Amino acid sequence: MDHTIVMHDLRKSYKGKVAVDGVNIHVKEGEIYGFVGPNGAGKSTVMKMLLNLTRPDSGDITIWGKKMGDESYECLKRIGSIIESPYFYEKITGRQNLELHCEYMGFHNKERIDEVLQLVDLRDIEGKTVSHYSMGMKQRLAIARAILARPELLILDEPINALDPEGIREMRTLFKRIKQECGTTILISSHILSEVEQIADTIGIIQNGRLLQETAMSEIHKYQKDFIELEVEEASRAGCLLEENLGIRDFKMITENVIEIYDSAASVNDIATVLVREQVMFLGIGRKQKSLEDYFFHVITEEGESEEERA
Amino acid sequence: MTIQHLIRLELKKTPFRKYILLSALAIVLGIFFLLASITDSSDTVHDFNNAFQSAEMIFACIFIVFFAVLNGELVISEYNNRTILLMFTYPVDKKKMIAAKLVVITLFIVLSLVVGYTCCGLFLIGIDRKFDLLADTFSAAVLRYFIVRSATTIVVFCCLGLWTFAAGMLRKSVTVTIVSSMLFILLRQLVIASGREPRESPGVVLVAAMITAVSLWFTFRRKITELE
Repeated sequence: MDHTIVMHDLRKSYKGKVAVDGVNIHVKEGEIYGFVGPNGAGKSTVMKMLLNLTRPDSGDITIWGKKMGDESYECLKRIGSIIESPYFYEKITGRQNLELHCEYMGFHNKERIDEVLQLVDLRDIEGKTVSHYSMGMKQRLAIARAILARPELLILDEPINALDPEGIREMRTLFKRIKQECGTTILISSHILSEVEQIADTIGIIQNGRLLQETAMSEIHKYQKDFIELEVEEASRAGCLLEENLGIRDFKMITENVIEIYDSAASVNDIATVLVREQVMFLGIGRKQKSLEDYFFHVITEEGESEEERA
Repeated sequence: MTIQHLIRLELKKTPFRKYILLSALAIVLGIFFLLASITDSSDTVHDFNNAFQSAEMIFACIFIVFFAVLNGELVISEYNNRTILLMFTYPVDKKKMIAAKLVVITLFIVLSLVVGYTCCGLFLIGIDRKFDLLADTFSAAVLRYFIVRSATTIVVFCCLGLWTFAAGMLRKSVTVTIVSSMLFILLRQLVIASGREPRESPGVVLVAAMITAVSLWFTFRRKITELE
């Protein structure tokens, strides 16, 4: 599969403070790439560099095989975006904002405006200036604007911020639909990991300006195997009993009271029976699955540890 | 995208009705001050020349500040409201985009000044015919003088207006833009006061134009694409 975006050793500092530090990103054509990281990690800066809003201090950005330079305006015709927040001309209506967008993008299908307004379920906006919209409405309008000119690449910086749960679900479905029906490549940043988890094909984790990992979601699913979480008073004793009585060796003591059992053959009933029989006080037991959030913290913790070692 | 197309788009999103109204009010205010200056009871001899100077001074105060306000509202506030982030994601040369805004502002001010001077001129001719308030009479020579002076002051006012743009862009601040317009008006008055005649000499106009060119070159080179 060809890459739509390739970033190589991208670096950017603001007033001596490193914002992006040697980032390498590879976004395949037609995939949804989830870009996750805490606030201030450098997600927006990377996205701004992609849109030529800010120039990297060093490194290369290639979009559709062409290197981005100061004068790379043509490729912007094929990109839809939301950066930072949904910004609009507040004194004109939503429809007028979309009409202006069409003009600037050189897109002359005005009927498409009704289509996208329907897609984002934005109703009752006729004659209302954007200054009277709620934040959720502005977010929907921003998504409508981003997809209006049928872009081949969507760069969406926190697009589901300010949406209610129903809105989030609708947008999730919309992004999947756009990807499937139009083959649009989508780079989406969010700190709502559970949402990214549901739509992304590849995840890039960024922290302190450094891309810690770029992994296919299928790889993360392998990490997200089922396990049994056991909460007991004495985890070390419980661990010995599990090994002696049930032959379970594939487990990990998470804290003094919590054990995670990864052995797929282990049964909750058998474990509970042994613990009751041996009079080990247990507070809870149940099957769980690791989420993207767990994976995210796992990667961040590992990175923290290896940084400490390097220091 | 051509600059003409960009100008057309700027006109579409700018609330010009408000600015036209403000401009009309400014012209009415100018005429009011003009009337006040030619009917004052001091010993000054009122002729077309010094009546024109009054109009010129009033328009300098009003339209240079107005230029700065437009710079603030149409250019610098785009940076402050972050809508510039949206503008710069369009497949259009960023510098051309800002240039289109400046062309719109400059044309608007030029047009307002032309209308303003014409109204003042007609008012002076009309009121002099009716009440004979001025010492001299309107003639082709007065008209020629009037046109040359109007054209000169329009060029100077636009230069000073563009200086306010350059000053405001240094820190992307509307306040700096407007305060700088007042300082530039003061500077103009000081330059005029230090000269032999109460107006800009061709040398002063040339220097103003050169400073404008340099400040615009610097702003377009260093400040337009600077977003942080």
